[in-house]
Amino acid sequence: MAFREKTAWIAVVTTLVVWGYYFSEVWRGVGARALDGQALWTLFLICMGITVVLLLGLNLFASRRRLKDFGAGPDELEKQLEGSAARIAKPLFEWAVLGISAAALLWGREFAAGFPADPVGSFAIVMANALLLAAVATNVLAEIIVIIRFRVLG
Amino acid sequence: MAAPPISNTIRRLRFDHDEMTQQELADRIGMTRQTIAAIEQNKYSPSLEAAFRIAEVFGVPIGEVFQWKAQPPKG
Repeated sequence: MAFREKTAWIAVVTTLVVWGYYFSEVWRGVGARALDGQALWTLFLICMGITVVLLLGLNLFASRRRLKDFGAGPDELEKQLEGSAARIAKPLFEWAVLGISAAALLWGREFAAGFPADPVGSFAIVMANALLLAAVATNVLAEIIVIIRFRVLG
Repeated sequence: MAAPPISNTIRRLRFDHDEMTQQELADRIGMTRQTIAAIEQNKYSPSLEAAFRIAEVFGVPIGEVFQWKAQPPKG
């Protein structure tokens, strides 16, 4: 398996596990109509730290037989695969941002009213997390496309 | 995706050069072993620069490494 494919698997699994947990906590707060901004910010920082440590550690482990693979730039085939993934993921992210913005304009007030304790703060937290979710999801999609393209190449 | 109409003799050339491994060839031209494997299996057409680099490693003209497979005219 190519090192770039390994890094894609590592990114997908790490992101799904760590950020899946983070977004489940956000969702739980939204469902309970009680978003604790400070607690979510702390959780966000913890998840970010865990992601960095896991990505570095697992990538180092994956390159243990050829350490020079670690941090090596992509070659022309890998650039092509990454480019084809970005051609799908980037516009999707842009559309997602547009969709989130439109939803905020259309239903923002109604949504915020559902959080009587702190409507503005809760709305801001949900907006920030919706944008973060869009970024994370489209990045995972891009990595999955890279994996599929590598699998097709055999 | 259809295979490009280009064949190559990289496998034979590697064999003729002290059974050079795909990894050795990859290291010499700054690519990954998987990319060399994809080129060898005709699943990926390399850039012109990479093609020249491969030919340079084996010390042969580029036409000896890559051959254009003429397509019969359509219609």
